[in-house]
Amino acid sequence: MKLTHSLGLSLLLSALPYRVTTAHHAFSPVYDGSKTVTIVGTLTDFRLVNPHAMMTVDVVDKAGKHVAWTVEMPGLLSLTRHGWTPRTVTVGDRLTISGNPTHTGSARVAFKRIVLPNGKEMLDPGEDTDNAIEQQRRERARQRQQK
Amino acid sequence: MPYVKQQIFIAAIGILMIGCGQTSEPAARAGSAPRPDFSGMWSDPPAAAVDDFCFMTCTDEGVSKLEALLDDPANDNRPYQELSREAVRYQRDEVIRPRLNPETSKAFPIDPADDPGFLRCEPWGFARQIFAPHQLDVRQSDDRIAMRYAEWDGRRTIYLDDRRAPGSQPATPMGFSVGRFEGDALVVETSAVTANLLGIFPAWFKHGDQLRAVERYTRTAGGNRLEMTVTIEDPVSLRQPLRFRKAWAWAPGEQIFPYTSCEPPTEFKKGGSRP
Repeated sequence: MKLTHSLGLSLLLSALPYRVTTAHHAFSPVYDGSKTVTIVGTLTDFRLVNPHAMMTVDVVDKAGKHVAWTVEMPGLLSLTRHGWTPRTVTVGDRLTISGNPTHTGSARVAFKRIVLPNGKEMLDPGEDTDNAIEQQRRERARQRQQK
Repeated sequence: MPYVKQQIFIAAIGILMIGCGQTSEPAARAGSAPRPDFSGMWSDPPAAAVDDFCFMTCTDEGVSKLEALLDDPANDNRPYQELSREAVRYQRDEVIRPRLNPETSKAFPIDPADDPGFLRCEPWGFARQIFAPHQLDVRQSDDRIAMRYAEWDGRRTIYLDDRRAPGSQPATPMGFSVGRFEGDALVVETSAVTANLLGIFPAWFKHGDQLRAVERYTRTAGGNRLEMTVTIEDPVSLRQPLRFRKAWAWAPGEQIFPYTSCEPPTEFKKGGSRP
């Protein structure tokens, strides 16, 4: 199974139990926000729906066994605001997906970022927002320090 | 001539009907300033700290706490999410909890694993739906306003024709709402709401069926922003009224998509993480 635990990201996220403002769909009962896993596999299904979009990805483990991973994503109403369309990914695409694993360690992950076959990276809309606000916070601090 | 008499009669009836139409117009509107118009599609505001903090809902005190944290030079190296969580904890423990009745306070905040929306795909009730993020479609006519929320495809009607909730009005998840205009503001009073959850994780609790809410909507920023404040009273859960706020941005290019693919969880654990 080409499943790796990305340690660096895990350490970063351990300080961020979850993103407060996007936890309105009961994230924490299912997923462990303090850990991150990365899977690499082939897309077999993509449903851009509400309340959560879903991917199914065929991941081959070290023993050569095929495991169907479920990738849970924000809903259509949120993803479309961040550039997602039904054609962003296509069945057969080779994808690298990082996200939070379940508490039970089942083959399921809450999407945080995805690398498409063309190398383009798509982030969870919440992370996009975080990055923008964090930049604003730094700028606010910089301007204060210059006064 | 009979034909001429007939035409005069028809003309007279027409004039009378026009006159009746004018006199039947609500007195409050005759000669008054035009009503503010809230029609159109609204959605999440652009990324900014306070709006993100209020993404679902917030209190004035919580926002002040966040601003103070952001303005404190001692926090210059603390990431926004850390500051946001500190403000959320303050809002939860210093603003909301002291206003809760003891029974409600004991169970506050509710475990997200107990959310009926999560467990059974049960649509949100009024006291959560009004804080729903993402798209909000507003259709305004003379006698009513229809609001449609993207989350759960929640819908409600706000009556503008001075009607009162009938005494026998059964409580419903979205309640019974009447509205009026005060200057540039739309003021909405809601009652007859079924006991349900109030607020959105991580600051939520159970409310009773005596809940009453007064929402106040205004357009700001040149009309491109929709601001809401809501004051909620509920003898079952609250010892003092609670006031929340939220904002949307003008989003004419957005749309509401079907909300039909909710699936109950296949695995979960109780006692999820807290801010």
